[in-house]
Amino acid sequence: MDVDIEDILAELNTDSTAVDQSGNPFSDINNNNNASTLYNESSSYPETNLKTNATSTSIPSPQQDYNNLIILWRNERCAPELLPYPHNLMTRMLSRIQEQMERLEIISMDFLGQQHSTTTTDTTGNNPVNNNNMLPLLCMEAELERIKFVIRSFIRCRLSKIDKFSLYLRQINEENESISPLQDFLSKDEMIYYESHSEILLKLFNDTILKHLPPNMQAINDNTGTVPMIDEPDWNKFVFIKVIGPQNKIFNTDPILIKGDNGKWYYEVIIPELQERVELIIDSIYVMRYKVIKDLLMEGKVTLI
Amino acid sequence: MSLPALLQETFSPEEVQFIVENQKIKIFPRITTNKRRNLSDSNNEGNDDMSRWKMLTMDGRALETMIVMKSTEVTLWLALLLKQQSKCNIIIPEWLTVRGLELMLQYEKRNVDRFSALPWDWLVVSEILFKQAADDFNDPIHELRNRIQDLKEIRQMKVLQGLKYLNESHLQLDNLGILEINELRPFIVTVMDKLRLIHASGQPDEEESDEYGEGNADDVGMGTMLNSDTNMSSSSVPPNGTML
Repeated sequence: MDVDIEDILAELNTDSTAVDQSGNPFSDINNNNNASTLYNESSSYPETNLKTNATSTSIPSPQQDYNNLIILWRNERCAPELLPYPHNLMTRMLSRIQEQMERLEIISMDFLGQQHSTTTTDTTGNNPVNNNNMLPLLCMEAELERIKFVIRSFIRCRLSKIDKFSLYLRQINEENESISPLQDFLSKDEMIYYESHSEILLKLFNDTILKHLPPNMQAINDNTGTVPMIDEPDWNKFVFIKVIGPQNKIFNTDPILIKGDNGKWYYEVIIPELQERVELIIDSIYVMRYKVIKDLLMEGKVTLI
Repeated sequence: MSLPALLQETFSPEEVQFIVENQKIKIFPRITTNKRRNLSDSNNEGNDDMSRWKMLTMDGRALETMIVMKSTEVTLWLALLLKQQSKCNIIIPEWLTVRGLELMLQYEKRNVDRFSALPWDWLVVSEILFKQAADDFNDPIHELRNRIQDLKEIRQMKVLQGLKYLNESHLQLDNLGILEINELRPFIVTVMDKLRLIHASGQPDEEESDEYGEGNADDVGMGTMLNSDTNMSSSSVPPNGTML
C-alpha cells in the first residue's frame, strides 16, 4: 500500500515539474510568475469544498492553503464518507512543495560549493556562524516534512475509504452520472487506483463465489424488495464538530445564522428521526449525527474535530 | 490497509501533538536575522539566498525580521526547533502559571457541571513546554505539573459523570480540550451509535428502513426484522471481510 501512495505523490510531483520547466527554475522571479499563471488557470472553476476567502478571484496565501489543508485532513479523517477532492488546493500545494524542494537543493548546493571545510552538511556544526546560516535551511526542511506528512496522511485516509466504498462509488457513479461525476470527487490518480481496485474486487467476487451460484442470484447488488447489499457510508454516524460560522466572520451576512436572545449566534438544525431542533452555537463543540451537519460541513461552517 | 484501523477511529497522540504544533506562540529570539540579512546582502548574492526564509505554512516576514529580545510570534513547532538550537526563549502563555491554573482550578471546583475555559490545546501545550522549555518558566515546574494533574483529574471525573447523560440525539461539550476529545471519541461515538440504533428499532418500520439499510444482509428475511443486528455484524460479512 505504501508503494501506491508514494507512486501517487511522485506522479503528482512530476506533473508539477512539467509545468515548472517552461521557466528557468534557478530564478525566483520566473518561478513566481510561473506559479501564478498556474493558479489562475485552476481558479477558473470554483472550489467546491471550502470557500477559502470572500474574494474568489485572489489566490489564497500559502498560509491559508496550509490551514485549509489541515482542516480538510481532519474532516476527512473524521467523516464517515469520502469527501470531495480539493483539486485546486492540492495543485497549489504540490507545486509549492516542488518549488521548495528545488530551492532547498540550490541552497544546499551553494553551501557545498562555498564551504571547503569538512563539516559542511553537519547542521550542528561547531562553527556558530555556519550554524546560523544553516538555520533557515533547517527550518524550511522541517516545514517541508510536515507538509508532506499531512498530504500523505490525507491521501492514505482517502485511499482507505476508496477501498471500503469502491462498490458504493461505482453504484452512485452509474446511477446519477450527471449529478456528481467521480472525476470531481477523486483526483486523477485516485481515479486510476479506484478503477483498478474495484475491477479486481469484482473479479474476485465473481471467480470465488458468484459464478458458482444459480444465474438469478449472481447480481452483485440484489435488492429485489429488500435491503441493498452494497455498503453505504453510515450517514447517521456520530461525529464531533466545532461550529465555526461564516468564513468572513461577518455574522449578519449569513442568511441561515440566527441570533439568539442571549446575543449568541447559532445555526438551527433538525434531527429528522427524533423531530428535534438543536441550536448549534458558534464556537461550541457538539457530538452530532453526520447527516444533520453535512451541508454545514460542505460550506465550511463547521469542522470535524 | 492504507490507514490502520486504530487511526480510523481517532487521531493518534502524535497526530494530536502535530495539530497543536501548528498553533502560534510568542518567543524572544536570541538572534537577529534582520541585520544579518542586510550584511549578507551587501556581501554577495549567493549568501542572500541562503539566509532567506521562504516558508510555506506561515508568513516568512516574522522570521526575517527577528531582533534579539524583541518578542515575536511563530508557530509552536518552529519555536521548539529554535529552542533546541538555543536561538530563542519561549514566552510561557499566561494561563500556564501557578496563578492562572489556580483560577481555573477554582472555577472547576465551583462549577460542577461546567468546564473552565482553558485553551483547547492546554494538555498538549503544557506537556510539550514542560519537556522542552523547562528553563523558560518563572514558576517552579513541579507546582505547575501538580496543578495540571489536578485539573486533568477533576475534568476527567466530570466527563465520567457526564457519560450517564449520553443519548441518541446529541451532546454539547464546550471547552473540552483536543486531547480529552480524542481520548473519549471512540467510546462516545460507539455508545451513541448503539443508542441510536436501539432507539430507531423502537420506531415504526418505514422511517428506518432506508436509513439503516446499509447492513449487507446475508439473509434477506432477517434483514428487515433486525436492522441493528445486521448492522453490527456487517464488518464480519463479505465483501468487507474479504478485502479488509
